[in-house]
Amino acid sequence: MTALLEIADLRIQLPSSSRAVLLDGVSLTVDRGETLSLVGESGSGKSLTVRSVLGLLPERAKIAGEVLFEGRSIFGMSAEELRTVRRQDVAMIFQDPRASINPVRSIGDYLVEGLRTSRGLSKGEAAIEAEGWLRAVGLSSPAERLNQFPHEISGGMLQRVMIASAIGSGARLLLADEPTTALDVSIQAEIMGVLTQLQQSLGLAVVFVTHDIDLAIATSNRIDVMYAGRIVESRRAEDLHDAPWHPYSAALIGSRPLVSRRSTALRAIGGQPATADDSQGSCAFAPRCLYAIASCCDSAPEITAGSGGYVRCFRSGELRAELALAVDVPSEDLTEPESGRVVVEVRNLRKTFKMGRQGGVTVAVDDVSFTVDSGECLGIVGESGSGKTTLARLLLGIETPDSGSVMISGQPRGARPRSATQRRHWAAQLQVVFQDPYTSLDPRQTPTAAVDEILTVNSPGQSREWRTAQVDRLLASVGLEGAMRTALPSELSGGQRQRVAIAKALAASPQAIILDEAVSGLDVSIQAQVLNLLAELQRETQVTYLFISHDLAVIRQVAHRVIVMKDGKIVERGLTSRVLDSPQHDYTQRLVEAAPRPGWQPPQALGQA
Amino acid sequence: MKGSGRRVRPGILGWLSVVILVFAVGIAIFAPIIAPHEPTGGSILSQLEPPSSTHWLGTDIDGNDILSRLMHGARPSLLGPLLVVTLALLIGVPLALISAWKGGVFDQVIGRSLDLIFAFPTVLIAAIIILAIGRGITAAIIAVSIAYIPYTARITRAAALRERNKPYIIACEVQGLSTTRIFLHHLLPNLSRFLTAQATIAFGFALVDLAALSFVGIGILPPAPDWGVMVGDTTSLVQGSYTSIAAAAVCILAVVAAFTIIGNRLSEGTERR
Repeated sequence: MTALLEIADLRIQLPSSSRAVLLDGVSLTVDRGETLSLVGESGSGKSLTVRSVLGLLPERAKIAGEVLFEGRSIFGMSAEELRTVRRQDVAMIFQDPRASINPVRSIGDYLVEGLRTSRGLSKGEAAIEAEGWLRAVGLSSPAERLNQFPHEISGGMLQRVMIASAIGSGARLLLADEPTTALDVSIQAEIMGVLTQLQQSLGLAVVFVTHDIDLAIATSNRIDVMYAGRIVESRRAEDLHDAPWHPYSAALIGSRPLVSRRSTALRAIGGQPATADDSQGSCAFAPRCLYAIASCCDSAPEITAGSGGYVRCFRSGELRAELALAVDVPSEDLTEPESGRVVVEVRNLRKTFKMGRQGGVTVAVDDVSFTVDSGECLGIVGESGSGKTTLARLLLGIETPDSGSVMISGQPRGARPRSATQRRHWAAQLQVVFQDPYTSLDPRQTPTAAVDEILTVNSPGQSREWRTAQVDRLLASVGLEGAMRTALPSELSGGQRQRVAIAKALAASPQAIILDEAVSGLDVSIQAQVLNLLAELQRETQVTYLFISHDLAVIRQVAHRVIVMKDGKIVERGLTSRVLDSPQHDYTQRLVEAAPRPGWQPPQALGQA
Repeated sequence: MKGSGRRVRPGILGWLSVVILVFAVGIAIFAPIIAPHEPTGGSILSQLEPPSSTHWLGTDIDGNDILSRLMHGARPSLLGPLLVVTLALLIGVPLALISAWKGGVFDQVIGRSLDLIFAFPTVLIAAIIILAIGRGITAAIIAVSIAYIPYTARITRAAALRERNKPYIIACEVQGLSTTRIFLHHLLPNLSRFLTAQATIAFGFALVDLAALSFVGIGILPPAPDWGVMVGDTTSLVQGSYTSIAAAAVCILAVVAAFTIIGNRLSEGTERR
């Protein structure tokens, strides 16, 4: 019997571009009812690989190799045949369900149209089926949902609608491209539960693209690890975690923080992810590999098969024992810093927003109080809508609280003052690093100019030589060297930009820094670099951190203490290890249970989104 | 442009537009040197001559050389819109920035005041200005500028608001930069490309509007050479000659199209991500 999907030596190349080679000999097979995960960092080619199955490739791309669905070549199909495959055989769901549905049409319209084109049902039959599929993906009151519009339901529910539409078409293969990345972790667990359950009951094959290796291990049969447009390791999911064969897989596993225990130090992968283009004729991972030898740079490693998988590495045979040790990262919880001097003191903070014209009021932050000491990191955890971002804006003085106070080292924190002297003082209280490194830097300012400007404003009267020395010191402290210092943000990678943002925050010599989801937009290897950097800077300068994140694993890694927020209130607080190991509040328990980790399984009961 | 993300791809039309504009500006600058005749003061004896080696495009009803009038006419026809766009930007952009930055009452008051100006047609504004300072090019430029302020302010406010809510501007505030510094060093430079694109498109519209005012006789007054005045030269038409009208119309069309195309190309480049 032929495999359901077979990709054979797929090469995709752009005719003339700096990153010409996008995929470099990707081969994989997916059998009926199987789940295959493609894991890798951004730019590794995992999305492109699944898109090739639907023929969704960049225009003008030069394609070599084959994509066979049930033995038929996708590239050899006529437009009509390809349309039939897209309608009936292969379905795809994307990261952002809101971006992939027409906002002016009802959920019912959307599902019915899909069912009619894919299965030729009548309107009435399709409507009945649509309701059934909504029930199958665990949506409450499905009949009413059909009349609702996308903006009336949550992102998690909408992703269920997308799944309902995908499986309702009778597809035998589902391509899921980061389907839960934009969702809260508790919703992610539910969606993955729904997917796994449906897949088993319908015998559906799934290709699941994700950057989260724990999620991949928990939900799939096989995992292909991709790097720079190549599959570097292909293994059974249960084998990969404890015994990776490729140094890159081991590095991915060793570099990500865990919710269940805190790594003594994350094994960050140095350097930047490579592209297939600049690594022709060598192992793409060699420049970042701890185990690289001379021959790694001379030729590209071929496939070495082993039991239940294969790997592309010259040294895979000799390294197995070493890599198994490497992923067993020692763990150690953070100990409270000794200082005991209160830096940030928040008392009974409250903020409400008026909703609409009826005068309804939403309480975004409700009676929040806490203190943070110098040299300490307080984790602020919560899902979207928990009020953590509003809390950050209140602390910064961008929003004014309805009541309550924020004190930094005993001084009140207000709105941005008018006089230059007071403004300097204000800036030295608190700084911020935002989530999105692409919009948090002025696109026209180089790192050097950006840091210099802050020094000019905040340390007037200092000489140009002093400023140059300080710029040098600050950029060196975040690991920005050479040409990167005079590059524009568009020429820097996400991790490099985030380093610039940290250097800018440090330039005002603040007593405390708010890190608002500061590593959430980064790949795990880069995230580990930045987390290690933050820890190091804190040890050196005793600066206080307020680390806002939805990611419990990251919080476990960096925070001494944690507060858990829900609907604007603090529902639980305490030492990070205590809160995450034995959560007391129901909500904290749910959050901890929803976080993927080794041995984790998505909940099987179809919950209500 | 460095640092503004996407590069502009002008294409053939874009390059053609650039050539047209360079040509038009060149003609305007060197008109007194290169024009074969004086633009005014022609003799009745040589009126409405057909094209010849002395008068390439012939002469108009007053006996003036049409080509020379076109060349000299390029000066007010290009300078007028330039002044209009500059004035509209000088007044509209600060209003927009204050509106976007302060929000609340400022935004409301500025917004409603601009709506009020929006309600008046350009010709009506021109009529009021003329009552105050008399007919002529100054009145026409002031009138069109006033009419363009709400338009400029409106689109700039929207763009400034988008930019203002980006984290890098919030970071600037938190880092203790003064509002003036944020405006001059961060907000304006990042809006500059958008503003250039919009100003370029507005230039074309202003040219047409000024020509229209000349056409109806409340802008530049004949016999001064101007494309709008030439299009309004109906006396020639009565005599059966439309060379003057057609030539001026072609000039207006070409320059306006060139500005619009370049403006659109520039604004395509500003739409990032």
